[in-house]
Amino acid sequence: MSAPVIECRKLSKRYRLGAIDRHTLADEVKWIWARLRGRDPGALFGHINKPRPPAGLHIALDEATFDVCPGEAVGLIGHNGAGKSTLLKLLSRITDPTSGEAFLRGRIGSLLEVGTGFHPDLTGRENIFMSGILLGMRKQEVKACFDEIVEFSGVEAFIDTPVKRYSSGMFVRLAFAVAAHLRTDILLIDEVLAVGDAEFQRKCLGKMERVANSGRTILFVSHNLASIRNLCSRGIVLSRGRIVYDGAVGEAVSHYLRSYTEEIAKGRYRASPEASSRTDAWIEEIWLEYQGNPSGACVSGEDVDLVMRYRSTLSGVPLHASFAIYDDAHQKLLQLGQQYTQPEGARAASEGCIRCRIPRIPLMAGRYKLNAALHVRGALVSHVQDAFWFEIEPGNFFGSGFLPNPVETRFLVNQHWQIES
Amino acid sequence: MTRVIHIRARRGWFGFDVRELIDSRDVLWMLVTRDLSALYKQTVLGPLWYVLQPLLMTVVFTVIFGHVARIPTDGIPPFLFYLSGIVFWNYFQGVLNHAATSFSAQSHILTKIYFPRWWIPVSGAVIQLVHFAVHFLLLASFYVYFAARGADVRPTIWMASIPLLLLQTAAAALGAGLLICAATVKYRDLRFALPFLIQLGLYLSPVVYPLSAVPDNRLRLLLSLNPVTSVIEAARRGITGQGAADAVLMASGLLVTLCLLALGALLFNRAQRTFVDTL
Repeated sequence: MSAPVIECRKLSKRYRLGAIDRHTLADEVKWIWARLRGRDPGALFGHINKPRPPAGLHIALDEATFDVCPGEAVGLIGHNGAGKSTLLKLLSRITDPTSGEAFLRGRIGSLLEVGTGFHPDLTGRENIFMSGILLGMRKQEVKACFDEIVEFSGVEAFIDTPVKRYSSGMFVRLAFAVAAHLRTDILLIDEVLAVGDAEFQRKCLGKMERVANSGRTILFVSHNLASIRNLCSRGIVLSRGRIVYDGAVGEAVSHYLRSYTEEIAKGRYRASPEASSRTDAWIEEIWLEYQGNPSGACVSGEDVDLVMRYRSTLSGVPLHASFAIYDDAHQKLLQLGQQYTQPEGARAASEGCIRCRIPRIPLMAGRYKLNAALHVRGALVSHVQDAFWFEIEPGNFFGSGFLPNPVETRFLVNQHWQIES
Repeated sequence: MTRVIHIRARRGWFGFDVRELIDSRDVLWMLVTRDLSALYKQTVLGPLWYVLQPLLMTVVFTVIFGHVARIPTDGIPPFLFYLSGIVFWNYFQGVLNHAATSFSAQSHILTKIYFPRWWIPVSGAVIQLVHFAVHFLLLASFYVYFAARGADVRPTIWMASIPLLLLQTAAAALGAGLLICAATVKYRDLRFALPFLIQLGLYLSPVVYPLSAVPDNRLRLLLSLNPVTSVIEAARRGITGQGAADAVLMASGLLVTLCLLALGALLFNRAQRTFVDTL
């Protein structure tokens, strides 16, 4: 048994929320000026004669500990905000962890995005060098496998054309071709196969399989459970920053699918008692109301209310709530924000409710997921990911009894048809 | 033997991986080539602008400060006087601007890939060097023209120091730029102040006036602390034989440069570890 190539020991990343801080020089000057005149600077920032509460923390990754042996292909599974991308960012050294440590033995290549380092004005040939070097290759290495890259990408004819003239498909193919030829021991990949056509995706997966079989180590994030199952032998499931399962990929996927429905309640979210009482304002509860009653389901084309109950240590400052609705494939469909229709926001009280009515909800029947956020003076202070699930039952949106086929659209829009001769 | 990468929360001000920097030196080549070839692939006006800009600025300065305000130019032909100042000032502000916006201008790359962040400000110094070469050629041509017309310009031994002056300019500009770059992570509104700070810097450097024309002794001492002052005065003395450059001025300029560079590098070193979180 050889030594692990990746060793993670209690790796954690915390972000500070509650941006009521002196983030601009102008604020800093105001703060100092208020102090010089003997006033309480806190008042300037909406705090009522009391010390500034410590900012809330968002724990993106919580003491992740695991080892990866050479030649292993590991899939990272979890819903949005579970910490997968944070983990890859830490391992690829884009940012430092808040605590904990990790050891990586060997050269690392990270592919968190397709086409990093590409410049639209440069030709395909030049961009192969730009991107290859940025991904960690030496100039000589790029030169050595240049022909191979061009062949894999299938854009030979346009290799001396600026990439801004490429179709998006060609662009993605060229970009991935560069990354696929990285000669690194450890490859970190984040959701890059979501782009490109089906045929090219198969080609990429095949290439990655060969990479994995050649004894190199892959850490792979994807929402596509099928490709994770195909490519990886081991799966790590993350939930709210913690590793909740680590084992054979089949087990990991089913664990994830189970937790998925269990973890999130239907139609209502309640903050746990210890949650975010350290921020200036926080979300206590969120629920869905249909026909005036809290509910886990509503009907397409009928009015729906989303209600957020908050608590706050501030008073009088403007609060803005926002909601985002996702479908069950994690695709964001709607962004609802108080700031768009009510820019003045709500005046903060120690406790209050903000209600958002969606008249005739324009979504097709299906399962949807809600995210919510609360802003103070435009700065995010509280954020709930995957607050709850809710169902939309089929309804009579157009009043005609007819609805489009669900494969064709996810939205329903008011429309008026006229016959003109 | 494979190298072990140790990921942890780095603390303190120091800690600097020289080997990593050397191993990734191709990134410098890449950043420089990328910037320059993208520039010269744009319209004809792209590269042409780099020649026109100092010329137009010199013409404007000659008219306004030479003919209207009649600021003395140490006996140097005004056109040559302003052009020489502008050529060095341009290099300084170009490097400074590039370094100061290292994080914001390249944020799309920096959030997606890791490479030693130092290469971004350093690449600015190299890219601007190419522009400087073009500008310097321009200056040399006008210099020959004025000398042939019998203007009183005599090259002195100070001319040999121009490569060193350039190095000092790069160091000072990097120092100031890294300082601003690191500060921008905490104070985001600083980036709006940057163009103004650069503009201010132009008038605090002897571009449109010679140091000898500054009447007040204390003011002159203050201006001598500006590292660009010693560079421009020494360069002018090198090509024309005129100027206030002397050992004291050079020493103070160098000292300020080194302090600025050290301070900027320390702050940048700290800021680069987690600045991505604030982008």
